[in-house]
Amino acid sequence: MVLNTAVLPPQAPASIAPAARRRGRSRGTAPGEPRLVAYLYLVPALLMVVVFVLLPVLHTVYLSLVKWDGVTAATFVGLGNYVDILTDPQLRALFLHSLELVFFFAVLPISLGLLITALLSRRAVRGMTFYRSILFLPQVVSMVVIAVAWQWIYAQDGVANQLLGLIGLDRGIAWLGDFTWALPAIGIVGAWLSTGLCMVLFLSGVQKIDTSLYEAARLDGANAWQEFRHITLPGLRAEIAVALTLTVVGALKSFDVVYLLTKGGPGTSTAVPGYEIFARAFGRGEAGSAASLAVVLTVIIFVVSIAISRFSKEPEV
Amino acid sequence: MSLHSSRRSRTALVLAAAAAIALGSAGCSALTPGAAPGGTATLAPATKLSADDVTALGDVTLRMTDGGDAAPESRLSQSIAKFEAEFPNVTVERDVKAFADYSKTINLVMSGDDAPDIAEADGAMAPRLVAGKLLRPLNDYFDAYGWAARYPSSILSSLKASPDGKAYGTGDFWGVSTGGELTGVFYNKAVLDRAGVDLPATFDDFQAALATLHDKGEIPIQLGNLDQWSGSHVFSTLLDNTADPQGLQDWINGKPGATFTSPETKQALTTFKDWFSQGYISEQANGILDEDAVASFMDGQGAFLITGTWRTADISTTLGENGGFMLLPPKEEGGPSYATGSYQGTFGISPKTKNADLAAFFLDYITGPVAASINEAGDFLGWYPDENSAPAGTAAEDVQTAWASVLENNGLVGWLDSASPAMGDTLFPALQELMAGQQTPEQVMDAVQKTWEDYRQA
Repeated sequence: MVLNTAVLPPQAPASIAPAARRRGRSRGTAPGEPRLVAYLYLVPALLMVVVFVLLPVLHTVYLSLVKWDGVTAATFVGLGNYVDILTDPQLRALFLHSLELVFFFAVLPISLGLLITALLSRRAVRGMTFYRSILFLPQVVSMVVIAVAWQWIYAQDGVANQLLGLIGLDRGIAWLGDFTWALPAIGIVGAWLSTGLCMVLFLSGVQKIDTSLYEAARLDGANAWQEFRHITLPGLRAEIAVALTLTVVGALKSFDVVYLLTKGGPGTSTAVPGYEIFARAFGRGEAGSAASLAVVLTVIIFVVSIAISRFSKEPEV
Repeated sequence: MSLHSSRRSRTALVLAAAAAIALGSAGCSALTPGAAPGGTATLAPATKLSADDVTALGDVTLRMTDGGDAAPESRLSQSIAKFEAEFPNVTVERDVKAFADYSKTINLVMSGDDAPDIAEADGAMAPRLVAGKLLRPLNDYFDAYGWAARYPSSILSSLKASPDGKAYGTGDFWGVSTGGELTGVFYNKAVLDRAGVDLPATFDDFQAALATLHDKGEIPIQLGNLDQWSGSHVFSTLLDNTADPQGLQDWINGKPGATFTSPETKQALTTFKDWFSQGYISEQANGILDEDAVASFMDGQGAFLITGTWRTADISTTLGENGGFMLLPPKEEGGPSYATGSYQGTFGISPKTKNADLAAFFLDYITGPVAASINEAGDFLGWYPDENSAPAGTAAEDVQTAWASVLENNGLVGWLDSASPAMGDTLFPALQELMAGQQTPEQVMDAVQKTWEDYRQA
């Protein structure tokens, strides 16, 4: 759009459009019907998607049907890899870990994001941009840096224990090495990461809610909670859907947080499917089984995101 | 969106998917992974070049790739520089990646059409490179240059791999090694003195020392096992001195019928577990970074640190005369000590290279006495112990003494996680679970042996 106005004189679109419409009509297509030439415009983008998304996905699907060490000739095993995956009890544990992460990566940040939005949007807050930037900062910093910082925070003499010490709760636990606490500890890093993202989404969403609604509600004597429940929340339905999709998908496919913080340890208490795919493909030379696990994970993510978009649709009147 | 158009778009989607799948299966033969092995052509006969032959070659470029130390003072950088100074007509183009990235990409790099002439590999990378025929068999060059005489038997066996890459100690030589490293016990004399503990000469003394140190409020053994592999070095050092070293090496090499499960292994696992239960190693070790544990040790916290000689330079310079190194004390005083360790800086030649003879000449140079005499960086220990030197009275000097004694006693046993590609992923978490009391020694043994068998049966 910006490009158009820059290139063409402002009155140009108006003068071109009717001419184009006339030409279209003269070829005998019904008005409003898309013309074939439109597909030509789609070709460059389509080509990119086919080459860099669709074909690799299909290749992965194909790889999931073979047994392959990554180098020597592969053997076709049909659905063998999938049978192995579905019958492996250890893998089920990894998916359960993912499920636990969904709480920390999605539920917690969205709740916090809503809370912050409710607090910041009710009246003009001084230094709003500053708060927003601070809360969004985790999204900008490199994951490697974040991981190192949190490893320090969670260390035996780290900030987490120092803070707990203030209220007399420091038990000298190295959090990332504890079988019970390592996964929640990773989850909190994830929550800290996505809260800023959710907040920015919600704050921008709140701005498009008609302020007269709040005015009317206040005149009717609504309190803060009622305002939030009946105006803000419904008004943010679309943003919540986007945040939910992003964060849930992020939780399910999580890899970098785990890889950088614990490598799945202690034991396998923080291992997740994304990490397992990496370990199989690049560490153990089980490319076929890694591909099939990737396909399973993709299907799950697909189903979950479709479900989210279904449930978050405006109820039809 | 109207009902009509949505149904049509759905039909289109199904059609597109069907077409894509058809296309995919038609392209299967082209996409069949691993179908084109690297060097199927017969190899040119090997010739041992003389220095004059090399000078007569004119301007040549050798391309190598490795996951080593790119710093100019590292042993490899220095030996390459010396080589280039001696043979100015040869240019060495070196592509260095961080080790973790290197090990993940080397298969792709070597199967490419423009694979480098020379590539570093280790026990985890070699099996697949050998099976994929991405490394040239080096038997002829081993004969021509007499390389076999350099290495103790465990090293020599690990430089040979079966054609399918699943067993070491049989088949062709795949690489030639610059030096090695081993794990042992670094100690801090100041901490030992503070607790009134003498340097133990037997394993029983060592156990007694741990108890005394613990009673005196010192940290007996410093360990950070958040990285997962560091704990395995403590365990394997214990194991090498408990179980039969040759049997362990056979198991690591994948010799048919070898087994990890034995009363000695169980005993080593039990001792390892006891060190945690007794508080000789922090029960929080699983949450401490290896880096941080080493830093604490150098800061005077902890009497012993069981780790590899790659830490020598740091510890030796930081602790100075308080620093020392010994092999894990043997069962009987004066008996042989064994150490976990293996080769480092090991290079193979691509079967696609047009400069195999020159590559072999270059490798002979950078893995020979010249490289062994470069000790400044202390990154690993050369195969010519006489060439070694270190400041007197430091941990670095102790390391060299230990290295020489291990080479003489043939006392080096390989890394446990070299036994199969998935071994680290099984052993490391299992040891963490053993430490936390979530697995018994028997469960660890069974899981480890199962991983070994799964790989060999597949």
